[in-house]
Formats: sequence, C-alpha cells, structure tokens
Amino acid sequence: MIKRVVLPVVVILAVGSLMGMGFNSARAKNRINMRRNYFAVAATASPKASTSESTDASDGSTSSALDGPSQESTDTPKEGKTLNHPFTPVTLDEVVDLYLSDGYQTGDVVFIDARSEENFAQEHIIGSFNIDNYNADDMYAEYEQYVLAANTIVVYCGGGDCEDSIFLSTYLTNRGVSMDTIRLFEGGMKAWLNDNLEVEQASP
Amino acid sequence: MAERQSGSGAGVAVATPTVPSPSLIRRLDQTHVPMLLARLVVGGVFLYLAFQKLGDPILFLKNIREYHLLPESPPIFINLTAVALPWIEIVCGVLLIIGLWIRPAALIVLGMLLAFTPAILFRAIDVYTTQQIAFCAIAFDCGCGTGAINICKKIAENGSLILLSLVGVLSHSRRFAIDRAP
Repeated sequence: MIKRVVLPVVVILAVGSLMGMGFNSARAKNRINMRRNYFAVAATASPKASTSESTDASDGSTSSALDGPSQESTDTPKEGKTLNHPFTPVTLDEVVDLYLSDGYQTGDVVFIDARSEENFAQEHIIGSFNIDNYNADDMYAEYEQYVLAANTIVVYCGGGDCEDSIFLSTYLTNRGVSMDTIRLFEGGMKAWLNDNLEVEQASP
Repeated sequence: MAERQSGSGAGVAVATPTVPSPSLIRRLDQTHVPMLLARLVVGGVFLYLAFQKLGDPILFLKNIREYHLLPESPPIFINLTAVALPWIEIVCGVLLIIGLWIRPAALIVLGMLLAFTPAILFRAIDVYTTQQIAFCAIAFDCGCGTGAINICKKIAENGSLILLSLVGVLSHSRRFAIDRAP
C-alpha cells in the first residue's frame, strides 16, 4: 500500500510542485512572487475598516495603523461586497477636479491604474501610470520617483467589486508612500466610463 | 432471489434485484472499457484545464482566493497552490493517459475534485442567497480553467469526473497501460 500508492502520491505532488516553481521562476511576465501577499490590506484604526491585521510578506513588515477616513464615497458601484480599507476614498467629482487641476500637469497629482496591462491598454484615464498590482514588483520602479514626489496619488482599478486598487495602495504604503497622500477612487474605470469622460488607449 | 439469515435466526428474504452484483461490475471491468474511458477522459480533461490555467496564473491565484479555502497570510500556501496545482494536474493527466501509477494519479485527481466541487457548490449557494437569481442561471469563473461557466453544468461535469476517477482508483484493468500491476 505504502509503496504502491502513498509513495507515488508523494512523488507526483513533489514533482508537480517543483515543475510549477521552476516554470514560475522562468516566467518573464505574470510571475508569482511566492513571498508576497497580493491581497494584503493595510491595517487601520478606523472602526469602519476591517479589524484583521494583514502584512505584506514581501518585506515582512506589518502595515502601519493610521487614522482612516470617515467619509464614504457616494458613487461607488458596489456589487454585494463591502470594500474595507483605511485609504481616503474620493468621489468621481473629486477625481475629475484633481484630473483638471494644475497639479496633474505639474506632477503634484498622479493617477495610478492598478489593472492589468491588457486592460490598461484598452482604455485608461489620460495620463495615468499603469502599476498592475500583480506585477507591481516589476512595474513600480519605473514610476517610483513620480509617485514619491506627488502629494496626491489617485489609485483606481475596474470599479465594482475590484479590490486591486486597495491591494496596490497597501503595496505603495509598504514601499514608503505616505498613506495620507493616497486617494482611492473606488468607482474606478466603471464610474469614469459611465460618465463618458475622456480616456486614452495604449499599446500593451 | 437472495435469502439471508438474520442474526436472530429468523429467515428474512431480502430482494436485491436492482443492485448490480459484484460479478457484474467485475465482468464490466474485465472488458477494460470503463478504465480506458476513465483514463482518457479524466487525463485529457485535466491536461486541457491545466494548460488553460497556466496561461494566466494571476487569474488562477485570484480564483483560488475566492474560495477562502486557504489562508492569505502567510502567502506561501495560496501562492504555492496557484503555482503547483496546474503542474500536478499535468503530471496526473499524463500518467493517466500513458497508464503509469494509475491509482495514485487517480487518487490525487479524486482528492482535488472532492475538495473543489463542494467549494464551487458553496460559492454558488452564496451567490444564490445574496443575489437572488435562479440557481442554474448562476455562472462564474470557478478557476477551473474554463472561464465563466454555468455552475449546474460544472457540478454535473465534476460529478462525472468524480465517478470516472473512482473507476481509476478501484479498477484492476491495466489494458494499454505501461503499469501492468493493478
């Protein structure tokens, strides 16, 4: 029994796992960082936010607990899921104001699209940077200087149930970006497109 | 008609005409058809689905998370599952098709199906209770490699695969297999 079943089962699982890790390491794109918690949400002292502590294991640090916002976004197209996070949410109107502000031209305000490169290429808010949450280790370096220099960072993803903007915001705070500078546009591309606001395309 | 003696000694007639006798199952197994069918179908399906998952490992990682079966912290468990599971499926699929280590490979496949099928069912029930739509109208990406799929269809498919995997585990047939010992 052990020789004919248990041992082969262990060998199959071990060989499959090793092949998987080898193939994953060799990937140029969409490689999974085994040590990174892609779904970490920065902890908060706000009573409205999640009470569970989460860590970003890529650097092993526990996210700092800061005072969260008390205001609720009014144009958040939620679909049965409550998005708990400690970041300051912004409404579509506020995002449009930031988009039209002088700061957006000077680099004081930056927009970050947390979606995949494919989705970003299809359409995105004009002038926004693409840092896909799941490829952030590779993509962040290109924009780091602009992100650290900005005083307001608007992070968005697809809208609806999309949580990638929350995860990316957590990633940014673990890379030294102040939580106070982050504005979470929960409505995301969905809200932006629903209002027929201008977008641009990019080649992936 | 079979007749058995009860423990108290009284004769009790037990009619079992609808249950196939073990000899019938054995005779069916000796045709080698069920085992061959099980190996090719389960092996082929798992190979196909594994390659679909390999195409987008991040999507697979997100789908695994949706089931809440694994802890997100420490992340090694969920990340390793996303990385290793498609390759374990490939290894099992190849072994089933060529007929080597059939029973262990079928056992692993059965284990995966028994873990994920109830998880899909519970997730569908969750959608049913929160969104109030007809159960068989529910469709979502179950992370199985097929993209968004009708859940009733998926559960029926998995039920069939569970039965075929059981054949792979229990059958003694080794026709067209490298491994000759049952």
